[in-house]
Amino acid sequence: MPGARPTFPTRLFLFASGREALGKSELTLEIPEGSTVRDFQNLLKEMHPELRALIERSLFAKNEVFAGWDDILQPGDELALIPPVSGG
Amino acid sequence: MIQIIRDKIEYGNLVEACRGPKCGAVVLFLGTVRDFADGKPSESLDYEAYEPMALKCLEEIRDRAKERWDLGSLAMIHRLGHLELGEISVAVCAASAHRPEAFQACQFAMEELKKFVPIWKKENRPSGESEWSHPGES
Repeated sequence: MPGARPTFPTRLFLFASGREALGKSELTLEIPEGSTVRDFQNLLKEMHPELRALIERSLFAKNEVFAGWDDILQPGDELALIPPVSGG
Repeated sequence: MIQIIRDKIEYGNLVEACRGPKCGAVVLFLGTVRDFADGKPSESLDYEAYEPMALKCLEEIRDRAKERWDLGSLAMIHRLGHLELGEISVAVCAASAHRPEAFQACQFAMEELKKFVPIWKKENRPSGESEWSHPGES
């Protein structure tokens, strides 16, 4: 698309049912500069519609800390999909 | 002491590490693998974690508990991997001068762990099926 924003790769770690559903413990998505965590969530739902229900119930972590939906992602940030937890 | 381990939890060592002459009260909580979960029989569990983040979360819980109560120590250990019925998955030990603080801090730490620390369990059913537990599922 003409005038498209430059993109950069962003890693996402997967756990529990997310990891098993995709058969891998991480993936990488190309995201446009200025993308937020919410934008990443929407892109992930588009790329993996089979995970949509789980994604909608999950939070994201950015660099090992829970992320806000409006946090803007920078190159090198590492995300994780955190489905509802069940430790204990 | 904050740990995530794959071996058996040696809770005796944990208690000894928390005890001391300034603490008249020591409370130990053990979470163990139960034979029934979500209305169905369970045969064993598998735990996994986002380990670096889970350790940070456990440290944050300990620090918040220490701000809120006057504690000698608060220690938490969570086990990962495959656990059979009756095995210990988590241990929390709180020590303080008097018992109310130790009881309250121990319960607080355990409740917070269950709320947001990125650790997950998979229930293995006698039927051979297994399912990840993601509380709140409809």
